[in-house]
Amino acid sequence: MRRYADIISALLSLQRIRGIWPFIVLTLLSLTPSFIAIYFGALESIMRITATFSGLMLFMQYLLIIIMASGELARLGYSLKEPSMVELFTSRGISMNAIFTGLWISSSLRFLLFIAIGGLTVDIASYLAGVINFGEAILLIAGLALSASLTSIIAIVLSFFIPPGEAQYWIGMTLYIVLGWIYQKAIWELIWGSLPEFGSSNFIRLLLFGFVDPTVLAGEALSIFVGLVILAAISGELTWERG
Amino acid sequence: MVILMTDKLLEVLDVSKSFGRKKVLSNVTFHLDKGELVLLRGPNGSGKTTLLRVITEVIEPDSGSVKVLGKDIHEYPEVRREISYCPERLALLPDYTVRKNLIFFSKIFNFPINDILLDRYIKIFRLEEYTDQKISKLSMGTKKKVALLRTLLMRANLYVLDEPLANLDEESSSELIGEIRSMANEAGVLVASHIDLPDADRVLEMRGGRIEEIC
Repeated sequence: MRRYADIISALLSLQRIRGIWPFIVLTLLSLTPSFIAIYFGALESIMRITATFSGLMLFMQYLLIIIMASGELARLGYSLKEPSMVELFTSRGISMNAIFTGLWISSSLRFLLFIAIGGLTVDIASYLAGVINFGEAILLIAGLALSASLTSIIAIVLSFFIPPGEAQYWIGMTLYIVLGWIYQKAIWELIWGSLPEFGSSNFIRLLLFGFVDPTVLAGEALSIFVGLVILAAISGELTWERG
Repeated sequence: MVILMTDKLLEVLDVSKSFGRKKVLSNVTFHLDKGELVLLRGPNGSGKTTLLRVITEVIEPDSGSVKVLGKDIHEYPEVRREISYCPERLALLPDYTVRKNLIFFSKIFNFPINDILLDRYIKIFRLEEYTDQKISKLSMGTKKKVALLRTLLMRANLYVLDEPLANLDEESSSELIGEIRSMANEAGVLVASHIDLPDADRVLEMRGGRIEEIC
């Protein structure tokens, strides 16, 4: 365990925390329509769309955190897999399995931090905008903590059964997107009292499209696109470059 | 670091290694004593790097054994921590600064970075202006210095250096040789190089996977 603690501590010392501010800025920008709609006493349908933005932003955060972090992670992963690095670790009795498991765990911890901060921003902004009430905000924050923790725990546990290396990143990241999205949707639906029937085609629709309202879908697509552009501009970290 | 109870720091006993049909090491036997600086000299392809890899247990020999401080490194994996190895291809993280690299390796290999020692070596290696630069932006000679600095900071009983002088300028080379010499007074140093190291206590010549002590 001491060895794992050393490895995780070493890997965390490399991973940058920057990138949180773009998420917060993006979230606030995306919530601006909600503030405007509420200020002008918008119609119920508009309220629903703007409310969706909050849930949507969390999904975007999951997605974008993973895209951004994966560029950095991939570079780090490739550097760590370099033959001379393997030689060096082996000469000190450290296996590459330990290195990659450490990399995955340290990355999961960082994702958790990002998600917690991003999610909290959404929930607090939604509450301030009047999209949700105080009780709902508390429920959402609790749900966020639960979903992020469950996702991390599942991903970390699964990482022990996935062969170390590149596949581990992508399987893990997919897990983050899918599980995070499902949990968040389920929590939203619980709060709004329309929990869908899991198991039928509703599950697929939930997974793939979230809310099925075409207007909302268009809004989601637009938001993701705008979000990507804003993030790329602000952070300059959107990269698929291999190290 | 273990306190030495024997003068024989490293014993390589009848080690052979083949890759497929090609025999790379043939019954290699030698030892290195405490405080010795031994040069393993030979042309490219003579088996120097393979021998270092066997000594650091990066690869296993087909036969023979390696002992560090009297303990077989295969049976006692903990003695690997008495060895500080600098591979020829450096093993640095290109996207991170010199400082971050050193911190990373100090944590992963669990050796404390002593600021006084770090400053001393940074000065010796003339790395002051590079500490906050990314490895990928540095010249090969500077990268080599960083890798050697990491090796020195690991404070082992045995330093195993693969081609440490390659890509270094003359001034840095002579300073490094002095530093290697001073290290050897405290520990043992095995240097594989295709060029001479005037300060070496002994020179082992490698040719075709065989070893011969020439002085």
